[in-house]
Amino acid sequence: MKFEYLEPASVAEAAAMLGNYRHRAKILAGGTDLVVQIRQGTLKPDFVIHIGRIEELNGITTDSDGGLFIGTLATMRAIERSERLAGRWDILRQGAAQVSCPQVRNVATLGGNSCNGIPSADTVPPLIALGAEAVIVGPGGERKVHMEAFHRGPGRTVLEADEFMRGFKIPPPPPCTGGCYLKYTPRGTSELAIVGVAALVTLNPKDGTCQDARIVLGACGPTPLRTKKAESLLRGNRLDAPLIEKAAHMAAEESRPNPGISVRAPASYRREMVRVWGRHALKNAWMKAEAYHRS
Amino acid sequence: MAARTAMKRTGKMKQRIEFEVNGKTREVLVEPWKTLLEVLREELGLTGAKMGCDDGNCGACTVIVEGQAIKSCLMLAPQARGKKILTIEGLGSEENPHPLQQAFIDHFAVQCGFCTPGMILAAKALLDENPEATEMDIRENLHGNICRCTGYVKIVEAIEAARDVLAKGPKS
Amino acid sequence: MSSEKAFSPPYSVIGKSIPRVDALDKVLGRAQFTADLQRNFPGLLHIKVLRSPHAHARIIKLDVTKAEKYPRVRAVVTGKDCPDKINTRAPRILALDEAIWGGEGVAAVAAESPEIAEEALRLIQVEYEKLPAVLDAEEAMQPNPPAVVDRQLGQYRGSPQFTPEAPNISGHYKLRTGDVEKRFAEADIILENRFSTSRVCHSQLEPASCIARFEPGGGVTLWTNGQGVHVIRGIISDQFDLPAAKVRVINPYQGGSFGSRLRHYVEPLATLLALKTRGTVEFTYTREEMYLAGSTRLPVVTYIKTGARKDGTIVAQQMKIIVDNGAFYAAVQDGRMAASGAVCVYRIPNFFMDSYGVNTNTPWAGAYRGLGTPQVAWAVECQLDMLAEKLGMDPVELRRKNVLHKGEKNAYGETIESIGVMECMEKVAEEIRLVEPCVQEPGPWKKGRGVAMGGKQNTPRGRSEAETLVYEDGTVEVLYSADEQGMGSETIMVQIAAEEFKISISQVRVRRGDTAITPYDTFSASSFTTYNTGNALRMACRDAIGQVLEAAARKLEASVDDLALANGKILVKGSPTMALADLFIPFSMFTPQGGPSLKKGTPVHGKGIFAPSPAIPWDPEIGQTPRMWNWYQYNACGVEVAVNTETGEVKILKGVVAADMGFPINPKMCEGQIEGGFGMAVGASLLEEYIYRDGLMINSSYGNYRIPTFREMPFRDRFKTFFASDPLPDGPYGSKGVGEGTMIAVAPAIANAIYNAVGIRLKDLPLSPERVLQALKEKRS
Repeated sequence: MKFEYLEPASVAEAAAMLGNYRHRAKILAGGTDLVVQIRQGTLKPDFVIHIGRIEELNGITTDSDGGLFIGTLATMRAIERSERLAGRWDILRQGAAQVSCPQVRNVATLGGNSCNGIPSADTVPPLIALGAEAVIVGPGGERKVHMEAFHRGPGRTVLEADEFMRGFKIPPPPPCTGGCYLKYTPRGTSELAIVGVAALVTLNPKDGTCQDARIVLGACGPTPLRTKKAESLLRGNRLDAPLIEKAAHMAAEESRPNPGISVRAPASYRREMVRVWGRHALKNAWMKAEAYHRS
Repeated sequence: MAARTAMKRTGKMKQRIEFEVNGKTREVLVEPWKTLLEVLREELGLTGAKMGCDDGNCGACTVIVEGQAIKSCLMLAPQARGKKILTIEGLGSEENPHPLQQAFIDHFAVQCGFCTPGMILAAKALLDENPEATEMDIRENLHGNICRCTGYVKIVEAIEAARDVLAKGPKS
Repeated sequence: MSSEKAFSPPYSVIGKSIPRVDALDKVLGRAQFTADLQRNFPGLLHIKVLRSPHAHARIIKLDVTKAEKYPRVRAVVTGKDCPDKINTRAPRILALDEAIWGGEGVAAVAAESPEIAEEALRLIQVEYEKLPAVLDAEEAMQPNPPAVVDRQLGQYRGSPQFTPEAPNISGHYKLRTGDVEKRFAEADIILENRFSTSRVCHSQLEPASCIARFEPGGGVTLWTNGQGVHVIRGIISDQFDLPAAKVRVINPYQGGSFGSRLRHYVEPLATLLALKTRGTVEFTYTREEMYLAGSTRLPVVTYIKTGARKDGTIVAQQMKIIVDNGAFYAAVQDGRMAASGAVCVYRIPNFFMDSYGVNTNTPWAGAYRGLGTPQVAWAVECQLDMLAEKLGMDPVELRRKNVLHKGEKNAYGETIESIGVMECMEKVAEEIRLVEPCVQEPGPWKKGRGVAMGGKQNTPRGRSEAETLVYEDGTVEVLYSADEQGMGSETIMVQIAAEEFKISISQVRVRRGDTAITPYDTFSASSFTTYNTGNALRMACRDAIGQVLEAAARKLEASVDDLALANGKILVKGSPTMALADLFIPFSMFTPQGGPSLKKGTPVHGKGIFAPSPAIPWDPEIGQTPRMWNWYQYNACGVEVAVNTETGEVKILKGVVAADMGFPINPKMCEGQIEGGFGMAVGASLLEEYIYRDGLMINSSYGNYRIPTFREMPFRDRFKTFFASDPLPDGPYGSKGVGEGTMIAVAPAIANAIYNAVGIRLKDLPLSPERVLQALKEKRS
């Protein structure tokens, strides 16, 4: 696990270092995943580039279009407590609030939670549901990738060897949008999820029908998964309990939990839990959207 | 304390890291792959923080950094450069134990004692932030600290008692 | 909530909840555990072990030359370098030519840093030829099994009842009393079921750790958190042919054990490498190694057939108990241990039992809190509830009808001396409000209540010795070698000494766990430290007091019978006369320094030895004897659960435990044991199991092996502890032990509560959400 430790003072310096060392380097933000992987030998970087002190990578700012930009270094704690993320953005706070335990949330970063590529990451389904884009810094400048397309498989993302995450651009959710992220484990949030369900429901302000629905599953496949067939069952329709149930069933069918032996739960059980928690998450999101709609 | 100038290549060599531990400035010279836990225990002799798992699950390594409870087995030593760190050795003394320490004694919340330093510091961080923490808050916020001996019953009792003592008097 | 008042004859500190004497050190973080001592050893070497990833494999190539040559590596060893003596308390140090479980060590490196040792491990060239593995005990016990797990099983020292025909069976305990065939034929109702428990691991917070220092002149000193310093000394001295006088073993504080540290899996390798390098080495298990190679609980399969009359009287019982040793027979699995849980509670005059220990190619099992009785009570107590339901009888009444009473004989043929189990049961049934149906709320959670009870034997295990040193100022040092793994033995010993000498707690100092200083003891197991070592200490106190009073009698020209010692003063007929200090003659040129009088500078040295009378051997064909075990501790548990009918989750809403531990010397500490045991039992009931892929455990971390957190225990005002104790005639102040009792009745109480809630009967632990949900689905369809 021997490596050289580098601490760039700016984004440009970090980009230059990463451009230099590429596959031989790993970016360190909070470290709650990376440190374990390095010490256990699953990752063997020659260089560790610590970006944790680069202030411009932190913070939550409002964009000109009313959306938000969240810096990659924003900790789970900061997100969990951010007033700016109340209301229609709350689903992201819920995701961050359910990562591990308080000690980890004090240190773990939003960027890290995406970049380590763990399919059960709790902030990713909410980011996908919100339509977030990853803002990526590379040698050629910046590019944006929708979070829906960001993950390639367990531990793998679209990041090239000379790229790193600067932050997340999240468009403003439409009015009458309610969101809910539920994480199911037998033992509370300190475990990785058996299933994570992010449900975001937008109601048409005129007639209260479902204008948009996003249902995103974590821990149910090699990457977080948007269940589009389930979503389409809801879009354009008036929501009620049977329809929600149907959508949850469809989401379970679209899920792709690993059929092999799992330390957490067998695939059949995960699917069943998508049905159960998908229903709960959708209902919760719908109720929140209704509350906006009525007010 | 951290310099904002470009870092020199140091090679896979030891790094000089300065931070404040229990109110005193300390400096160590360590390989960058050492965790804060290892540095506290091996370089500074502060063996109150324990290694129960080394992968961030048991909480026995909990210390307080810049007022927040963190798991020191998950932090590389250089990440702690320039930070203020509180370990169990810096909390209270034999003559003047912190209310949490006294409560753990009075309420039999200590059995083997291995989880105890981490548990007390996690509780301190919670009570500092939420002086009115309820039993539910305590259970929800401390579930990253595992105990195998007590069944948690008297630990909760002790933290609630300390909460009440702290609520009455000046903050420690 | 203890009943302190009921247990306080006029004692000053016995029966009182004195704060633990080690609590201050522990809350200040200055209590030293083994790994905390490493800084004191310059030039310390670190050990890392290469482990087989296969459940069963032949090692066809093992080349360590590159590792040996790696800079700053000081030694590399393989099975060939290990002594070939096997002790059942210390598994084979490294595999020889066959690795017999996933995680067995095949080579070890000692290097100047742990990182270098790890790097050297990667340079070891090893090739395995996978062999058929047998992972299931029922399969392994057949003649001609798919694999012979341990080819040396028959050769061990303290050899189990090995039979070549069934080469994986390490032992077979038979109980034959009465005529079961006849009684089954006459019974009004017969129930037959199969129950099973999973492999579970102690998961104590402090990993196993040992520092071994080579001593010039040929010997070693060990600092270890292993249990039983004298036992370890004996094992090491024997295994490595070291003179006993040159082996010293020292215990710092031990961070939990629950039985894990009763087997020695770090000390032998550390010694081997200390001898080889002629240096000081440390060996600390990683958390993963604790799961793979650090001892586990015994998984048990129980077939139980019970015959009863309409009125609930049990007339016959037949049991087949299959205990899975894992890959190494570690001296507990001759079958008897688990069996005791089925014998010590109920009156069963016609009882046939066959209890087997069986090896499999899985991580080896050792002692674990409860030692088989919780696993068997799991079967017995679930079956009893099922019987109660079939008979239309109240489950408590059914137990009342069949429970043994003091003075009766159990199926072993032992006469019951102390049995408070029914009082425990009455208490929990009342507290949990068993007879009232639960008020159900809308939603997926359904509530239910259940109770169970059980008992565990205490092993009449060898002797304990204790010593007291009484100084002229009246302060006392207590010397003993039993363990302090967190249960509070140091505090109990201080209380005993303070009571006997009638001094304050602060005037007693404990010295524990150093073979060079503290007298012989076995270890702290089987809940017997208070009993064995406590009794020895009382004798040591009284021996010292006797010596003091004799000296005082001479000086005062009084009769010893009129004298007493209290608070550093000699009392004559109850009145303080002289100070203890005045009995100690100071040095002067003109006073003789020989003779029987007490001398300043030499404390009075009291010694005590306690050994329970030994067990009486039994005919192996019928398994009966008037003394199989020593005393029994008893426990009852009641729970209220909520079952989520959508997810299968089970929450413990309320818990009540009542314990018969004879007499609580420190009530709050007893509560702590009960609460901790309850938490551990909840884990084994609902959450904990080993998950294997190709015979290798894959959930070997605290993140993936689910031990209970704060969230899995009920809220404080919903968990109660009661003592319903029946004093033990030869226990210190009537005390038995309390450490293991709570493990016994929790799982069946939970299963009985689940049945009450949702009508499903589960027979295999853990009652994980997916198993509960599966059963719910099967019930619906």
